[in-house]
Amino acid sequence: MSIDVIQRHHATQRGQAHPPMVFAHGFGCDQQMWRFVAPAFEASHRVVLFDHIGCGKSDLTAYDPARHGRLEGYADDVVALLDGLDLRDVVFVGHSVSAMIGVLASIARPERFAQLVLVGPSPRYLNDPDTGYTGGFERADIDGLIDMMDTNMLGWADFLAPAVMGADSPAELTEELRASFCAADPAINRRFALATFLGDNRADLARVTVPTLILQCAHDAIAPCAVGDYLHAQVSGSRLQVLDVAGHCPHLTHPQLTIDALRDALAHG
Amino acid sequence: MSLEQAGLPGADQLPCALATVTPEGVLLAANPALGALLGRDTAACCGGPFDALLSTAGAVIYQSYLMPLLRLHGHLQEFSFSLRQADGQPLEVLLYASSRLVGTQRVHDLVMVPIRQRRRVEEEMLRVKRAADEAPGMIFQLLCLPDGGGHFPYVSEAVRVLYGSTPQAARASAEVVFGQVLADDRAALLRSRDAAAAASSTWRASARVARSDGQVAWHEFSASPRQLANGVTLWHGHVADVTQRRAMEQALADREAARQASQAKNEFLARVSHELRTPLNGILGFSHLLLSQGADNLRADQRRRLAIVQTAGQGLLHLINEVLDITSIEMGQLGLHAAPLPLDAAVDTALAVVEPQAAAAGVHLARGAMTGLTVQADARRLQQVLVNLLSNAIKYNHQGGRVDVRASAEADAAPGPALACIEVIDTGRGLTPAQQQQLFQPFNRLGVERDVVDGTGLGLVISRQLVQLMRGSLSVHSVPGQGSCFRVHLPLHRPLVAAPDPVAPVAAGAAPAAADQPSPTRGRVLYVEDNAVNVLLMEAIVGLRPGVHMQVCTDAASGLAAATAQPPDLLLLDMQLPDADGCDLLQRMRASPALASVPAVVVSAAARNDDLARARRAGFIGYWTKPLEVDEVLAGLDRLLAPAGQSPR
Repeated sequence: MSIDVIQRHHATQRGQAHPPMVFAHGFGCDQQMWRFVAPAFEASHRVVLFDHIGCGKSDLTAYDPARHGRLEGYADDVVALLDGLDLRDVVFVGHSVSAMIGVLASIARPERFAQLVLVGPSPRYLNDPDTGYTGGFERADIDGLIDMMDTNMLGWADFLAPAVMGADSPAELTEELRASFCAADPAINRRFALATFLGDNRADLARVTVPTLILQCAHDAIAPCAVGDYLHAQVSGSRLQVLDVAGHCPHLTHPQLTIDALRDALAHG
Repeated sequence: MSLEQAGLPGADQLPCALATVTPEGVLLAANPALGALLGRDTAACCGGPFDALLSTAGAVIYQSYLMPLLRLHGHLQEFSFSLRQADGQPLEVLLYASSRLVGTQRVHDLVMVPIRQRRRVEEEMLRVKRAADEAPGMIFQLLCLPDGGGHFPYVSEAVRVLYGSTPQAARASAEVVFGQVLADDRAALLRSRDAAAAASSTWRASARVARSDGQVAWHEFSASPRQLANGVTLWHGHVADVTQRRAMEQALADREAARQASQAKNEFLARVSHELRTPLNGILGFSHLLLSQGADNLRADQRRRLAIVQTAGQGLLHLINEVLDITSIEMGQLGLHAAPLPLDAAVDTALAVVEPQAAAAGVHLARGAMTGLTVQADARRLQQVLVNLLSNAIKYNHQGGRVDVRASAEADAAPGPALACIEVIDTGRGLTPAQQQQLFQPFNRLGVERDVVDGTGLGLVISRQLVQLMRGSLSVHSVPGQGSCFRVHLPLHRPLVAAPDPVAPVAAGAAPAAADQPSPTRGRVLYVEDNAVNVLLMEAIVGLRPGVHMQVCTDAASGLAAATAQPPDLLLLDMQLPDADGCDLLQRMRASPALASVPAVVVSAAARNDDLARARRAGFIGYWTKPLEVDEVLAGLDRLLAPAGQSPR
């Protein structure tokens, strides 16, 4: 059972036996996105990293178009992972779409969670004129994104990998890379993008019972401050911490700042 | 900061857009070409976030892919990407990036080239790819090597659904597809492919494929080959999942086979029944004649035995008629002629028929009021139903028991026509619910419940179907030990007077004439018939009318000649003559003016409804079915031939 989920998600575990800290990657690449941040917690925690099904080195055959067409399916995967490893008192750190996946998983299994840390979360990317909600995206933006992803897949045999390395790179290195970072099955990736950017999980926020920290970048084109404020208002008892940085991936661009914020959160939790 | 200042001498003069960005995503510097491309002052943006220059979708790609990749690998090529122009419109660019150290700080240099022309080509390619991916079925290019190996340089996305695989895996080996084909079908499928390649013709074949969920699917391959150098064949084609179509075709074929089998069974039964009726004609006719004419010469025990022959023959005839009725109903060939029918007369006639049976069984028949009702029904078939119900009520009764028959109008049951309810109530031992259920099941009836009295045979089944064909219903209400009540519901006739059906079979309502009374009937009859027994029987019957002279011909040609030579007063024609059909013969006779209005009657074993209709169209006014009823034939002769003293013509 636990062997199963480990292979399915290419899960890696380092550090101590307890308490667990689970890092979940956002839309795009895979668990390696956390490599500047996660090692800092190995001295104090059981650090668990994993790839969502369809990303990185996960088991592609475990991909189920129906199940993974909605974020609830990814949340079910997280629940199965926590159950399979029998993790308790989990500090769940989710970036971008994984923040909402963590929210859904915590609603399903609150007893396994100690704390949620949501990095650049958004419960809905599309603006909603009916309710006056600002998500930052119009429908045409999503279509443009899908087009751009399709174009990048079309240009090369497999997503991104050869282009990253350049034409003169050694072939075996390309091959190794193809199997790992940011390499993903194009069709799965496209569906993941749709599930992410067309989803609406605003109604789930009121059901969160786990202590929650929202890490918001001050200048984020993908999850603007208005979204962070909205989450803060909807998740009762949540804390909002604004990092004074630009971008959507503070764990990549400002790893030390991110580590400090997480340490602070652990102290509070 | 200018790019010159950021350490890129000459960058400001380059004909392509250039930007330097920190790993934290801050725009350090941009050249004038980027400003010109976007229609904005890029110098003012320096020091701010780089993704402020990007379209929304571009920002997602930048944050999710471009920046993580650049951060981890240091360079990137040919990345499709979009910027935001001053007017808010996205601008497609192709991006190349690399990183370098400026002092101790790492920076990323991004080169961006607009790709309007390439974009149009890509859009076209995308359109084609999407059409291929969204189309039902799998579109493919397959490369087959002379050693039997091969791979799919291209397959559409359907490979995932159809074969549980990916386009990448199919690019590596054609086994991804052909390995899923069931072992039994695989060799034939590949043989058909290679044969089509050798003949340079289109390959079309179907095969069963194991699906990942364990089910088996039918796939249909169609493709055109192109021969390349060194024995390589390049295929372009399509795979369709035809499982549903196959299942539908199979279901249709099964249904058709079942229908044909049922039809064949019905036709066989109908044919056998007809064949059985012909010899019965001889048995019944002659035993009847012997009993009525030769009775004086017979000893008492011989008469009893003859009566047994007669009874057994009639029982057999009844059974055959029932089988014929059932098959006609099942084949949809039993047409009924519903007409207004007063219930009083119908019930009286039926009671008269079963009166002897009731007397023999010691059962009292009691007729209630019919309240003057008129129903819409086929007279002959309603008679059959009533006799069947009454006969059962007597049969399943006891000595001293009674049978009540009564009718009433039902209160208008909306919707539908007003109904008459005819009840036949007996004082028998009743039926258990299980027996009631079995009562109307056609082939359960034969041979069951023969412990006390004869089984009901097919009679009730036929009765119910007949009543239903008359738009009514037949139901049973029974309590074991307290008798049964059979209810027939029939539509009441609305008083619109309709003419009686002129071609109702002669038997219907024909009053039997006593065979042994002197008859005034006179005339000449021409009987065309090839069966010697039938001729003998008809001669014997006609012999009971001393005033009638009968001439017999054994085929159509001699019949036509005889009729033309001396026109008779009545024509009796068999339907199946050795050289012609009865209808054709009549048509030829009618061509002669002397024969144009001679009444004609069919004498035949065939009595299905389409036969009746055909005979009516041909101009016959009557239809006597074999085995012939002596009384019926005599009554017909009396009616169709002028009484003595009255010249028929």
